[in-house]
Amino acid sequence: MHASLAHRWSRAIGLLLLALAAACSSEPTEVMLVVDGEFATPTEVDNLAVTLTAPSGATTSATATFDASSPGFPRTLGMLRGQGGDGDYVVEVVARKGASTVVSRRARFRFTSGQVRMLRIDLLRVCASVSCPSLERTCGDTGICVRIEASTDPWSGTPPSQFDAGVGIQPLLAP
Amino acid sequence: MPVLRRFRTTFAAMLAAMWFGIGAVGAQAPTEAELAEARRTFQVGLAHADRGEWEDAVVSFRHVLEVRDAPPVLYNLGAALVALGQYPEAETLLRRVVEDTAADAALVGRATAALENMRQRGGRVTFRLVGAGPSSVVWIDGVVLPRDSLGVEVPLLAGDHVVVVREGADERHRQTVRVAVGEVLEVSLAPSGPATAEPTPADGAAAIPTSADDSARGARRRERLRNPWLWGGVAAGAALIGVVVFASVYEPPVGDPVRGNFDPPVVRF
Repeated sequence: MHASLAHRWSRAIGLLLLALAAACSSEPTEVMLVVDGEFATPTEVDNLAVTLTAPSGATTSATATFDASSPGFPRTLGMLRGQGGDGDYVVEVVARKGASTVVSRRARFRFTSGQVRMLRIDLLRVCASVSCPSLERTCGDTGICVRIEASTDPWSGTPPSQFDAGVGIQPLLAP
Repeated sequence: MPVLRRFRTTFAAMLAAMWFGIGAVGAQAPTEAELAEARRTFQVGLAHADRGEWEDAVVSFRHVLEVRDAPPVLYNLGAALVALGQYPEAETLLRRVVEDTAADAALVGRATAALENMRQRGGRVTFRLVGAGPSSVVWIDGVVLPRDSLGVEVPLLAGDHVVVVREGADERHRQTVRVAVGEVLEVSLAPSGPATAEPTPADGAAAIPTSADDSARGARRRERLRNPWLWGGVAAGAALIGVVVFASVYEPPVGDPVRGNFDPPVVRF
């Protein structure tokens, strides 16, 4: 009787654990970096360099190039939280023409556990000649240095573009 | 039962002899207070015996015997044990009375008659322990057989007797021994390992209360361990612990990351 009872219990526990395992799969903790720009590719900007800094100070990087066979803006980069843990992450995007920097922007963000979010960085002409004196500041939408804190939005699955056919430029540049 | 009736009528006659013995013998004489208490207890024992309450009588006489090891007390305790069918110890006590040269002649006569009565109503058995450890104890009908009674003839009332060999609380051997009047037997007890049989009320009649209590407690403990609800509770507790541990260490499978068009398309911190 004891063995039968124990057998029934062990089977029930196994089923419970399987049910939990099946119910607990989740989305990755990820932020999709969407880099959009007002610059023509590859004539004004032909490569991008992204540097990511974790709360621990560890950095990683990614690059993108523009040529006749590759897509233009927007470009996307998946940023997954691994062992970096919670805290503030900083991303810097530098757009170059050859080796010359055309424009750069920085943003500080946080991951949201179990969610895919989107961080958008627009490379604006108004920022082309702006250099901010502090790493805590970056060129804002009006060309003025602002704090680098940024918010993330839900990731819809496709990157939106502000600058297709130039329709998004006017509101951004309007005084 | 005429024999028992004779025992009862003899108790009162033995009382005076008992007190004589108490006063005359003993290098370590009990105090007056102890003697007074012993006298009261002896009276209580007699009253129990007169009503046929032999177990209670045995308890009273044992208490008295602790104060004074005198022939009258030995006789009365032996007589009560005869009434209970506990022949081995009864014979030992009654023989001490018979062999005591200082004992009253009438008392010796009664003890001799009691021994003869036992002989006429039972047989004799020699128990031998084979391959048993030094801690093995033989129980006959729930009463411990003294170790020095192993290997020698002991009297048993005619009929069936449950013989159990125990080591501590564990029962190692059990068998029933049938004895006929005048029969002489030799019984070898060979404990072979843990027995599955459990003590039953039939062999639990206790002449030594502490040992009987131990047996009863052991039986109750084993009975509790058979309770399916107990094991169900243990299993439920284990299941709860398992779920908590699982929840604390389990990392759910994560969906594939969304890939971009950088090089690499995904970076991981």
